[in-house]
Amino acid sequence: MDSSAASRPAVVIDNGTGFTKMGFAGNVEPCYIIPTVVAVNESFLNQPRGSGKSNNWLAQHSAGVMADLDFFIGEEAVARSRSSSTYNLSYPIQHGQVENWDSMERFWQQCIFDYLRCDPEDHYFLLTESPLTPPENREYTGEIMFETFNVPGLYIAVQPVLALAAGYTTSKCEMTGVVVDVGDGGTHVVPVADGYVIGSSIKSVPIAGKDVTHFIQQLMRERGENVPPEDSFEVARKVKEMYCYTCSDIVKEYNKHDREPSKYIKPWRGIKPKTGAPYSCEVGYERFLGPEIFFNPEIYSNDFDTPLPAVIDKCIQSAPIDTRRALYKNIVLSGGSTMFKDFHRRLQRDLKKIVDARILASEARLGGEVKTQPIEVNVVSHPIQRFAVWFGGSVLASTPEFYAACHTKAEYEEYGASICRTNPVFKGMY
Amino acid sequence: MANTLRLYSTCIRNTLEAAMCLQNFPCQEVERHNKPEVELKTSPELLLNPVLICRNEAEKCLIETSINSLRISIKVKQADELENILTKKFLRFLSMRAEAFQVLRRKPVQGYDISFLITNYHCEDMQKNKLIDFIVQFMEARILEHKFACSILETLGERVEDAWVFCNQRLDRKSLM
Amino acid sequence: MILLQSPSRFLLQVLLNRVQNIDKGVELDCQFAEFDDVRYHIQVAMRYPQFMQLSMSLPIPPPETIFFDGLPFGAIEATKAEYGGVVQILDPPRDGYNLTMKINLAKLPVDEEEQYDLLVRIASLREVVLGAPLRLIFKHLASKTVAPGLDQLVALVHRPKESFFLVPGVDKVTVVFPMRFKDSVDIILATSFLQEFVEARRTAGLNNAPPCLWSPTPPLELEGAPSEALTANAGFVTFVIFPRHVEGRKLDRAVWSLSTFHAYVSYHVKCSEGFMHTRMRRRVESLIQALDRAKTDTEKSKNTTQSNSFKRLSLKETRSSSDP
Repeated sequence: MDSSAASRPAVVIDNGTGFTKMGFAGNVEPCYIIPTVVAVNESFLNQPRGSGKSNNWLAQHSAGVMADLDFFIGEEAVARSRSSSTYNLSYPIQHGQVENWDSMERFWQQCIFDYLRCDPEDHYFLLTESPLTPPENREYTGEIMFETFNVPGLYIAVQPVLALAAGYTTSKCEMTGVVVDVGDGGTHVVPVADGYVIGSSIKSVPIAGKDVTHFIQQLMRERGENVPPEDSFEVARKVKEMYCYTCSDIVKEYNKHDREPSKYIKPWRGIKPKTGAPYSCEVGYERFLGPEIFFNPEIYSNDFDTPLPAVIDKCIQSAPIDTRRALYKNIVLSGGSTMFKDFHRRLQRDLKKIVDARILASEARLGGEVKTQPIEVNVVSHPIQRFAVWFGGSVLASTPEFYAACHTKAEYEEYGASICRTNPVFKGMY
Repeated sequence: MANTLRLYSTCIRNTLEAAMCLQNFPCQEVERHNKPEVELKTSPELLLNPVLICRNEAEKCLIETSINSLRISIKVKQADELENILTKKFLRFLSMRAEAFQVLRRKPVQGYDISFLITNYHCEDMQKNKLIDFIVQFMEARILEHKFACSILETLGERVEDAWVFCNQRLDRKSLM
Repeated sequence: MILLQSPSRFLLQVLLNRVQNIDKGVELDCQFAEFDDVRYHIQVAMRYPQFMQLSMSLPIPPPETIFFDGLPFGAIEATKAEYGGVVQILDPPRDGYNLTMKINLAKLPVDEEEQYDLLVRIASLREVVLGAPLRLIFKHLASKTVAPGLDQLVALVHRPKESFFLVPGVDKVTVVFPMRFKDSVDIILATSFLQEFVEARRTAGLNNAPPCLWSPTPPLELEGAPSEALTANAGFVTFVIFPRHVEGRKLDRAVWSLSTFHAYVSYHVKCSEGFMHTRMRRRVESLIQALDRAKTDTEKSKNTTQSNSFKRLSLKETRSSSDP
């Protein structure tokens, strides 16, 4: 039975805070990218509790059953919650962690049966988790996967490790590097050495894709652009995805815009969602100011003022000394919010500046007697960055070693959910 | 039916109230150890006679007491295979979350479905009558849960029926028009 | 809760996407699988963006099922009739697949609605191929005849190495599903689910729906079927289909519902398991609350301020807290 399941492509699902990427191993692209959101019918919960008479209770219970079965996920969920008040949106993943297991289970159910349309008993599964996930969550995931869906095998991979694996087909297999993962909900800088995450050196930045959107929204509102308030967040998101880029210097960029407004200022047309009337506005400085919050966070946030390159440098400096050179050499970007044009160039330049300054200082301290070997700083960018984690999973799950590294249903029955706590690094990863 | 259940749970409640007088008692064999005597049964003078409360063959409750600890084991009714797997599933689910329930024993005593181990420390930390409430509630809840689990399947069955047949019916009506 | 739809969502998405970007010569090579071990492979070469090669592999048929050239009977004809000139069936099919066809996207109808309609039908390839024999038999039933050579017990594949059976007649067709599940819990849930299914149908008074029966042992209609096909751990479900169930537009629905019946039951079994998890989580939460209520206030505050690793043992404390 297991061998027949192993002959089919494994299912790879990467549940992110904002979006879920899912598909079959061996493919280049995920089949679907949908928002990680569930619309649940909670109208039944608001009903007053019955007096406790069993008959009444049963009727209510059965109404509860119906309400529990009534839910939607992804784009459909967003649409439903807009059009009707019976549905409430529930975001099962917050800051990379599963917060609501009921919603999560329902989300997976629909992913598997409605979107991928596969029988979970027929496929091995590769799921992903953030590097900061507590082991209990892995147990709960295993419990759902093995008990509800009866999957034959499960592997829970760490997202940054997969992002590294995604890079290796395009260049070479290198399982040491720093993954800069800028998602919708959070930004993490994760050093990985030989396929293992260096947990103590993980750095997080409270600025992510959603903040870029918020900042753009704020800028457009302050300039008095003619955008209907109920639509402004959506417009800001689209502006971010279509027009934003990374500049090399803000002042120069301002000058460029002022000199040639026709070339840099983009028009935006939309339709008001309520009245259906068309409107138009302009997209200007926010095109480069949006992504700039990663490099100069003080323009957006009062509490956080360390630029992303400095965070990466700090992260590598806190890693074991013998891994540092290798880490500087392979800095991999992942997540949708690293897709801004020239993002990697700017990151590489700024980081190189910090590193070079440090070398100069140390050489000066030594009085010029010892010459330090220059440190290679390399920020790797590739076109599949947006779903690099998923792609890495797809690559790994199509290797024959993957099936051996999975936890099987039989093991689960024998030892219980605690087996899901450890997911070994397997061959094919290096 | 509801009446006999009430009798059964009242009986358990009264027995627990009487049995739950525990005191701190250090281990007699190893210094500075403190072990639940009901589990280890190191010496007969520390144990009391166990009490078995039976509603019928399938539903019973065993209460074992010692000087510093108390063990309650419950067997719940499992009329058919469905109830059997429901109980098994629920208990596995509970034992995974046993840390949250301080008084839950990870493994039931042989012949029973679920066991609680209450030590004198639990009695110190918690109000005795509320603790008894919890146990009784747990037991009653289990019984109700069974009834409901069956109705889940029933409702699901009806749902499918809706989907599968009404589709055809609707078409029926359309073709009539 | 969902109803399985006949067109594959992903296939339709790919088709629509290709049609919209037909001028962009983007290479595409992807494979995916569906329930009951149906696998697809889509290929578009960079040089010929208007041609899409779609291969499908079917579940391995058990010995009692009739297959012609690796396809159920009538499948080739049905495919040709369904898609016309847009699709060309390649012979032999791609290695490892049962059917390979070349779709000429340039030949699609110009009218947007018609075009979408055809794409949906291409995405429903599974129904066309696997449902071909069923459709043939039902068509004859609708006209109250029996297809030549198909008056005996007919076995049709629906899962790898598993088949379901049809007994065609002039005025009715009896369909029997031996239900098998791998997991012991699934078997029990499916059995009670099917019993409820049959029961609900009876009590709800759905007179127009096909009559349906469940039995733990093979029904009499299956006499003459090979014995290994008659072992089912979740019993047998029998539907009796009358001509009125397959008239006109209802035919498609009946074919699809019957050929995916097993997937349907299995999906609902999984649903109920997920549902039980939800209930259990709620139950655990309410029980933990009940336990929390038992904790005395002093204990609660102590928990937050002090570590629990060391307990002071004094007789006075024991006494004061054991008495509420």
